[in-house]
Amino acid sequence: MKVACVLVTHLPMKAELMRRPDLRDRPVIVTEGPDSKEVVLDSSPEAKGVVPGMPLQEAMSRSKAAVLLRVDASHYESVFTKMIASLCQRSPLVEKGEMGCAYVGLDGLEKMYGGETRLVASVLNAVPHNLNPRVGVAGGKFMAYVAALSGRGGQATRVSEGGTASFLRDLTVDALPMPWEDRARLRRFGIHTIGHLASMELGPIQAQFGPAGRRAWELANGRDLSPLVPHKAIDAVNEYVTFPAPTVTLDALLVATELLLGRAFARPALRSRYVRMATLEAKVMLGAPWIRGVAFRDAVGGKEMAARTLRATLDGTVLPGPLEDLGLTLSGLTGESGIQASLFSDMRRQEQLREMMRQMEVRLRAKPPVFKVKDIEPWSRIPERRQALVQFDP
Amino acid sequence: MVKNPRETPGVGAIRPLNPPVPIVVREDEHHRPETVTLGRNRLRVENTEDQWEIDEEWWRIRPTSRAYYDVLLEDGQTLTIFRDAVSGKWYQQRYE
Repeated sequence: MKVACVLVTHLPMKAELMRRPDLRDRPVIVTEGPDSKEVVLDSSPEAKGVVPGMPLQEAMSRSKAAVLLRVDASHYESVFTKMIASLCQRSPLVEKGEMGCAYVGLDGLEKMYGGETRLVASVLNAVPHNLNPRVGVAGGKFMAYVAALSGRGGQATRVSEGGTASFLRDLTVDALPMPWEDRARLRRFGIHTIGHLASMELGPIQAQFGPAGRRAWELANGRDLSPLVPHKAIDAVNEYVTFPAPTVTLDALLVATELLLGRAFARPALRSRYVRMATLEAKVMLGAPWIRGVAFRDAVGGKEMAARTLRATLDGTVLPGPLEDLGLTLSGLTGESGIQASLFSDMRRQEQLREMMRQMEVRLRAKPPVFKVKDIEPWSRIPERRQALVQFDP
Repeated sequence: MVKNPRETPGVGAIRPLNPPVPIVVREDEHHRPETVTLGRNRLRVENTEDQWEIDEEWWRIRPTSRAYYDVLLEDGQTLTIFRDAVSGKWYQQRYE
């Protein structure tokens, strides 16, 4: 099995620079976590001495002029997803690894591309140049990853079948996919390099480290049989709108939502299809993005139904700040082109009412004040005797 | 054996719909309405558009005896009010 590992290091930082080119060559720190416990997620090379996981206060003391950016996970995920989609056009077998890392199956594609060199170049070119990807090619996923890790941006590193041992020999055990504690224990035993681990007997390693030790030993000896798990693309429809001016009102948000729903359901991809999930996402002025996901109880196949549910969900929402734009993603597409009506529509309605009452009772922690008008003495000349309100119990 | 739930038996509260609402009415010597007080406004009765009486359940200790009036008030609104002949009090009530 021939595998290419496509690795984009510091993807959050690079994704930020893609949309904010003005920050290039400046110290920039991307932070994550709650306000009181913000830590560094990523940083630009200009932010000297700043490493991921460092508390923000310490990072700021090391790089005082740094520009701070809040994490925008959905943007990074979107950049990464685009990268995967582009790779999927090069090979039918692409595995989505951790953020910034993808494995591409190369078997049988050389002839199509006119040789391995051209194939690897095509894989490299599938990723935007400003993400500065590195590619490692080897006979297994781990070797390909290590090859990519030790290569340089914009270049490919190839490890031949016979060259595995020599390639791994001097690498530190930090490259092994083992828990941090196990790697620290390996060092306490005096095992600092992969070559040293490979030279050991399997028995003692397995006795000390269990299955993780066995896998590490096998990888150190160039044995990697882990298969490529193909990435399954998620069908989704995206629509986006920018507000003429940052808005804080819910009315504007609802109008924009309906506009986006109209556009989305007019797309051919949603013709005769229903959706189960809607995600609203907005860029907040000087703040972290606002994201709201709504799962429809029943799949919806039209703008009106979706708008009604979204309006009910958003009612009473307090916006975190002025919204600059709004994006809508409809996902969970189903092939359903209609909903089976019940032969016993009354029973169905009763069931829905019963469920609604149950939910209200849980929310109110008491019998919901819902009553039904009942005819008591409709013939009576005394008006208050004719009808009465009785506790509604479906 | 059915366990005693130790709760008051019943089907839950039954609330009358369209109950009479007490209202302040000044009447003349024939017990006909002259003015009706709605909130802070005392409004003159311009016209009595309809009038009827109901006498029901005369066998009870407290029979129902009411004189209903559909009145047009000076501000243009119409109202259905009645005088309880037993208590002499006035009420407002929708009558359809």
